[in-house]
Amino acid sequence: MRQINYNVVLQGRSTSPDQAASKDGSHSSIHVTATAEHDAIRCLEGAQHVALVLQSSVRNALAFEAQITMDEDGVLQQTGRVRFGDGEHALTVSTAGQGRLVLSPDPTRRQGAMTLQIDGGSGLFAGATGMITSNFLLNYSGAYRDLHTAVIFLPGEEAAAQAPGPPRMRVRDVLNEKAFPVKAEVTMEYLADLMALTEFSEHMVVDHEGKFIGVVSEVDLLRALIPDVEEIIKGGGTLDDAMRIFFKLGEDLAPQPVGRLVRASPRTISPDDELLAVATVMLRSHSRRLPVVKDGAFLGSVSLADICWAVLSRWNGLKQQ
Amino acid sequence: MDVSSSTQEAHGHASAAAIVAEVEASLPARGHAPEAFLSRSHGFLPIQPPLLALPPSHRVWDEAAAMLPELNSTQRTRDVLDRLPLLPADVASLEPGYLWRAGLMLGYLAHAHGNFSTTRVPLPSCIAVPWTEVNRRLGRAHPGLSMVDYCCYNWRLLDVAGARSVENMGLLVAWCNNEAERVFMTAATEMHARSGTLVDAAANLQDAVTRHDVGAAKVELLRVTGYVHDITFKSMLKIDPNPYSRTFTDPLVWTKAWVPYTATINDHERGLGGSGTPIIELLDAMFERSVHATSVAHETLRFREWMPSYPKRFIDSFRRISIVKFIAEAGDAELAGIYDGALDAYAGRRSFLSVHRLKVYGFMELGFKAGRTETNSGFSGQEADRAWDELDDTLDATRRERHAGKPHHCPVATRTALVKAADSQTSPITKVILDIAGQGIRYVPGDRLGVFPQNSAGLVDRTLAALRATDDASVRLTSAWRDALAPILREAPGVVPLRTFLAYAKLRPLGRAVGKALLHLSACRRLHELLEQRREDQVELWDALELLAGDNYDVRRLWKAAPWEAESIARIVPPENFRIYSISSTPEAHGGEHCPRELHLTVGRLSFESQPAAGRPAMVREGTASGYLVRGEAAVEQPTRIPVRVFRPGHFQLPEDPATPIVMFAGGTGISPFRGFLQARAADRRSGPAWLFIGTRTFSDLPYTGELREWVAGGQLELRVAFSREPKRLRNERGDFVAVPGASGYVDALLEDDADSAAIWRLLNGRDAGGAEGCFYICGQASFAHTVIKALKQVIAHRVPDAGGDRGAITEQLFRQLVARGRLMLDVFTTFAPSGARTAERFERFDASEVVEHNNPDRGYWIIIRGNVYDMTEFMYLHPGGERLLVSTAGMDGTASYEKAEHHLDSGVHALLDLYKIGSIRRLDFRDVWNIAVEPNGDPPLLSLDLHEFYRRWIRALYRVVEIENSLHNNLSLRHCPLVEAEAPEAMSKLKARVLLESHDVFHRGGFREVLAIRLQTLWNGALGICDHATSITKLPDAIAAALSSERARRAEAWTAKMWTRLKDLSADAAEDPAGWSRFEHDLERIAKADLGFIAGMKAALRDGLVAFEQHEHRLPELGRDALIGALERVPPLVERYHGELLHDDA
Repeated sequence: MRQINYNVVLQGRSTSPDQAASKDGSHSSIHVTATAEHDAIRCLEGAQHVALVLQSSVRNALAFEAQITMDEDGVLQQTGRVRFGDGEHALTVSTAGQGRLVLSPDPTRRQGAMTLQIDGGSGLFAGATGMITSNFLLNYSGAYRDLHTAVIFLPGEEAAAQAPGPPRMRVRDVLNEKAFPVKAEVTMEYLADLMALTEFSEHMVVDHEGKFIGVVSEVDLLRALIPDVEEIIKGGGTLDDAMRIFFKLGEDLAPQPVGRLVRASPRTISPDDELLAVATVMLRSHSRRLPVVKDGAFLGSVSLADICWAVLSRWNGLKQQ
Repeated sequence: MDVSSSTQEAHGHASAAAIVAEVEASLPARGHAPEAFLSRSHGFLPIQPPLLALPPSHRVWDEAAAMLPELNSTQRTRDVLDRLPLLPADVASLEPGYLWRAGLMLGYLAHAHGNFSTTRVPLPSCIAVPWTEVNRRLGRAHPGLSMVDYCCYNWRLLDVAGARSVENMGLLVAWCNNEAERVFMTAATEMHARSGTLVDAAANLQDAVTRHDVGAAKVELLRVTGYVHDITFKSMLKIDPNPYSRTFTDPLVWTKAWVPYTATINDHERGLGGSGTPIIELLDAMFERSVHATSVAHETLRFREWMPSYPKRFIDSFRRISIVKFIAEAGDAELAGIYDGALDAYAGRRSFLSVHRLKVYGFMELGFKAGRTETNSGFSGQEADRAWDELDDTLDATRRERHAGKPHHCPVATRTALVKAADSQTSPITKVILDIAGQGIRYVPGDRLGVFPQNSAGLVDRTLAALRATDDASVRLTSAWRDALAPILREAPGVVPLRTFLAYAKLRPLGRAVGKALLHLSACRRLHELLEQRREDQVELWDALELLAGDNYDVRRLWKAAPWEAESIARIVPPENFRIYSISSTPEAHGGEHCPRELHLTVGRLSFESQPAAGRPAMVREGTASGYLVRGEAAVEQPTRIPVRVFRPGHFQLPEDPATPIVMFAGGTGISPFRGFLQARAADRRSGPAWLFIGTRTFSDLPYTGELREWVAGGQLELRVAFSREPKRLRNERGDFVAVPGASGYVDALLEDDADSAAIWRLLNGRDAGGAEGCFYICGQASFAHTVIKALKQVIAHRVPDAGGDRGAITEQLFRQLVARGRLMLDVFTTFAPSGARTAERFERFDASEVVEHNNPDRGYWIIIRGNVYDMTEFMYLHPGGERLLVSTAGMDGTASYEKAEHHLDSGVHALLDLYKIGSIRRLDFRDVWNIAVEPNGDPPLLSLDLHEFYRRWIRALYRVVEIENSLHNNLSLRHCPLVEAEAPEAMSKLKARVLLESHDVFHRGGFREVLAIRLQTLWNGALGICDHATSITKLPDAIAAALSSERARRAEAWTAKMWTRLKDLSADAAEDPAGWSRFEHDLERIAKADLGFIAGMKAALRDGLVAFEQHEHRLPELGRDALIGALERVPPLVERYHGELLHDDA
C-alpha cells in the first residue's frame, strides 16, 4: 500500500447558489468546474506518483468537476471527479456523511466544507481509496475556490518503505557545533596537543572568516612523519636509520604550520543530509568525522559516535549534559 | 696463443670460431644434420635450402601436410589424419638427411590434429609414433615443434636464384597458408636468413676479445648493430597490419585462423615465441643477460632445452667470456660508445625489443578483443581486464632486464662551432657543428639525435633566487635522479650543487604534475587558481615558487629536505628528457676509422610570449633545448659537452637503391634531414634525381643557400621555393639565386605549376603504371605536413587517368598505398604551443555522447585521447598499427592504449596526431552532488557515490559497449577475408562458418553477459541511489533474469547451439548441398544481425542516459530520473527482441 498526500487550491466557476434553486425551492443544485496547475499542487507524500501521472499527460494540471445538491438547511451532498492531466487518471468521489454551506463574513460569498470519500479510481489511480477534505468559497458572481487536502491510498508493494516509523533525523539534528576547528597557520605541535585533548581523529580547518578549507587528521600527521624508507635504503641506509629519521622529522615538523597537510575539498555534508548516507560515507572513506558545511560556511562536524548516539540512545539525554 | 683462449680449450671449451669451423667442415649429405644449422655465410639457416620432398616411402606425410589448409577449410582434419598409414621412422627406414623435413611435417600434422578443436583427443599412433621417433633422432627428449622448425626450416624460395626474403619465400607446410601466416613466418625466417652476418661478427668479436684487439672488436660490434637494425627496420616491419601494404598481415586473420594451431599439444612443448630463437639467445648471451626474473624470461630459459646442439654450443661459448669486462679494461671511449649503441639497438627504448613489443601489443590487443583468452606463454584473462596490458608490462620488464649490470654510459658531443645557416634577422637558423669523434656514435641520414639539454644560467639564477638559495647550496638526490644523472655525469652522486640539479631539471614550462605536487604541499591559493585555469604551461617553475613564497610557504624546505621527505625538490621536479633533432649531415662526409667525427644539426631558435597567469606577467620565454644548443652565453657547467643519443625512426631513410628518385618537402628548418640526404646523394654517382620543395617566410630565411646553389648547378637537385611573407619567387641566374617579383604563397602553391605537377605525378606513380616510383619525404610542423599531403592528393586527383571510377576513392587508394609501401615518409615535429594559446580556442567542445556515434564508416571514426577528440577516419591508413586496431578503439577513450604504446613520449606521433584533432571533451559540472547507493556484497552493502563518479561508471559502461560493438564489427568483417590459401574473399567455408560461430559464442558468453550482469546492475543501483530511493532495487535484475530464462531465450539458445551440429553435418563442398548451405549462411547472417542489433540497442539506451548527464549536469537527481531509469528499463525488452530475432524463421 502506498500513500499519497497533497494539498491543492482549485479555482473555477460554479452556477450561483441562488440561480440554482429548484422550482419548489426545497433544494438547489450547483455545478462546479475548477482546475489547478501543477505548481499549485503541494505533495507531502507520493510526489513522484503525482508527477508521473501529470508528466504522462499533455495537460500538466488537475481538474475537478462536481455536482452539489443543497437542501434549504444548507446540508450538502456532492458527487464528482478529480482528473489528473488528460483525464484517464481520475478519482471518483462522493460526500461522506454530509457537508454544510453557510454564510461567510464576506457578503458576496458563501463558505462550504465537506469530507469526500474516494469511491474508486482509474488509470494510475486504479484501486485508490481514501478521503479528501474540501473547503470552498462560492461567489455570487460564479467564482469558485476550493482547498482540497487529500490522503489517498493506492495498492502497491512499497508499503514497508512508506510505513510510518520513528521520525528520520538529519545531520542538523545531531551535528556537533563545538568541533574545535583550527586555522591553517597553527603548528603541527599545536594540532597534536589538540588531538590528544579532544580525542578527535580529524580536525576541520577554517579560514579567518570561518569558511571551511579542509580536513587534517592524525593519519595525515603520521604520514608526514614516516620517511620514504625505500629512498633511505636506496641511499644505503638501514631500518635503524629510518627509526632515527622518524624522530628527527618530528623535531623538524613540530613548528611547521599544518597547512601543507590539509586535505582540501574533502567530502563535506550538509545539514539536510540523511544520517544513513553520512554513515556510509564515513565507513567507506575510513574517516570518523565529517565536516558540516553550508554555502561554504563551517557549521560543525558529525562523528560516527554522534550517529550511533542519535539512532540508538537519543532518549536517555546523556549527551545534553 | 693467448692465455685465456688456451685456458678455454684446456677445459674442453671450443671457441665460437672453432665451433663454426667444425660444423662447416662436417656438412652431411643433403646439408641438414640433426644438430641443425650454423655457418658464417647463412647463420642459423641451412646453407642448402630445406628439402622439398620426403623419399617416396614417406610421401604420404608430404601429401597430408599439403592438404592441411584444405582440410582446415572443410573441417575434415581429424577424419583424414586418423586414417593415415603408420610408417616407420627408424634409421633403417628414413635417412638422417630427411629428419628435419619429417619432423616439420609430422609436427604440423600433430598440431593440426591436436588443435583442431578445444576438445582434446589423443594423437593417432600414425602421427604420434613416427613423430616421437623423429624427434628422438633429432636429439630431443620429447616430440614437439621447436623455434628452429618454425623459423629455420619451413621455407622455400619462389625464385631459386632470389633472396631469402619475405617477398621471395613460401612455406613448406602451413595450416592456413594465408598471407598472414606466410608473411609472419617468413619474416621470422628472413631475420634468421640475415643471421650469417651475426654469426660471423659474433665469432670474430669473441676472437677479438680473447686477443684483446680493440680495433677489431669495434668493427664487429658495429656489424652486430647493423644486423640488429636490419632485422628491426627491414624484416620485422614487414609484418604489416596496414591493408595497403605489400606484406599485409591481417592481425585478426592471424589470431582467429592461425594462432590456435600454434598452441602446445603436450606438456613438454614450448609455444611459439621469439625468445626461443637462436638470434635472441645469441644476443642475450653476447650482451651477458644475467637477470631472468619475469615470466617471459622463465619461458626463455625453458626454451633452451629445445635448442639444437650446433647453435647451442655456439651460443654457450659466449657465456664464457665477458665483453663488458673487456671494454672496461680497454678503457677506450669509442669502444664503449659502440657497445652502448649495439645494446641500445637491441634493448634500448627504440630498439629491436621495443619495436617487437609494440607490434606484439597491437596484435594482442586486437586478439584479446576478438576473443582470445590466453597466449602461448601463459598470459590469460578476459578482454575487459586488458590482459594484454599485463603481457606488455612483462615484455618491457624483460627488455629492461637486459640492462642490469651494464655500465652507465652516455656518449658526449662537443659543440665546436655555430654557423649561421640563413641570413634572417627575425628567426635565425643555426647550423650547430658537433664533434663526436671517439664517442662511438654512428648514424645514417634521416636518423635523429637526442640532446640532453641544460637550462640557461639565467633561468637557473632566477630559480635559485626563487628558492631563496645561495650559490653554494646543494641538494640530496633521490634514486631516480641519481639513475638519470649517472650516465650524464659518469657517476651516481648522492649530493650535487643545487645549480647542477637545476641545470638538468625540467624547469619550463611548470607542468601539471609538478604544479599539483607543489599545490599539495602548500595549498597555495593562487597556484590553485593557475592550475584550475590550466595555465600551468604559461609559467615556469620559478614563477610557481614565487607564488608559494608569497603565500608564506618556506621554499627553502624544498632543497633542504632529504630525499625521503615529501618536500624534497628532487621528488617533485623531474629531470629533463632527451630532446630530438633531425641530423643534418651524412656520416660519409665526416668519416673516421670506425665512426664519423662530426655531426650537424639545424636549429631554429624558439621563443614565444606567454600569456599572463595568476599574476605572473606576460614575458618572452625561450625553448630549453634550442636555447641550449645555440646560445652564446655560458651554460652552467661544461657548456659544450653535450650528452647525446642517436634514435633511428621506423621510416625515414634514403631508398636502398640510390637510383630511386627522391622528392623532399621541407617547411623552414624542416630542411634539416634533407641536407644530410643531399650530401649523401651528391657523394654517390649512382644517385637518381632529387627534388626539394621548401617553404620559408622570406628569401633571407632560406637556409643553406650556398650548398643548394652548388647542388642545383651540378644538376643534382631540382629546387622549388615558396615565400609566404614576401611577394617574390626564386630565380636561378647563371648559378646565382636571386629573388624576383612574384606571388607569395605556401609550398602547396608550387605544385600548381603544370610541368612540376606532371613531373611529381610521374614520381608518385609506381613502375607498373609507367611512373618513376620515387620516395617522398615531408619534414616540418604538423600543419605543414597537412598542407603537403593535401597538395599531393590534389596532384593525384587531378592527374589520375579517368577510368570511370570514383576519382576521390581512387585518389585515396593510391595515397594509402603510397604510405603503406613506405614511399611517403614523415618527420613531423611540434614546436611548443601552450594550450592557453589562441589556437587552442578554435577547437570545438564535444560531448562524449557525440563521440560514441563515430565508430563506423558512415559517421567516421573518432577517438578520445587525454580529453581531446581526434577524427581518425583518414589517420587509420597512416597508422602503423593498422586500421583494425583503430577501429577497435574508435568511438571511445583510447588513452590507455595510446599511453601503453608510449606514443605520448614520441613527439613525432604526438605531432602527427595533432593534425587530426578536432576539439576536446566538454567538462561537465557536477558540483558536489552525491548520494548513497546499494552495492551488493559491499561492506557495508552501501556506498557513497558522487555524481561525477556515477557519470564515470556510466560512461565506462557505454565505452565498453562501444568496444564490444567494434570487436563485433572487426570479427564479422572476417566474413569477407580469405582464411586459407586460394580462398575467394567472399567464399563461405566450414572454417569461416566456424570462426563466425565462435565469434558469436564469444560475444554471447562474454560481452553480452558481462554487460547485462555486472555493468547494468552497477548503473541501476547508482541511478536509484542518485535519483530514486523508492523503486525496488531488484526490479531491473529480475526483469533481465526473466528475459534470459524465458522459454523464448531457451529456444534461441538451443537453436544457436544446433548451428554447430548443422555445421558438422553440412557437406564439405557447398556445391553438393547448395540448399543446405544457403539456409545455413542465411542463419549465420541472422545471428550476426541479431548480435549487432542487440549491442546497437544497448548503446542507444546507454547513450540516451548519458545525454541526461550532459543535459542536466548537477541537476540530474531532480531532472534526470526518468531518462536514466527509462534508459535502463529499455534493456529487458532488448533481450527479448534479441531472442525473437534469433528465432525469427523457426518461430
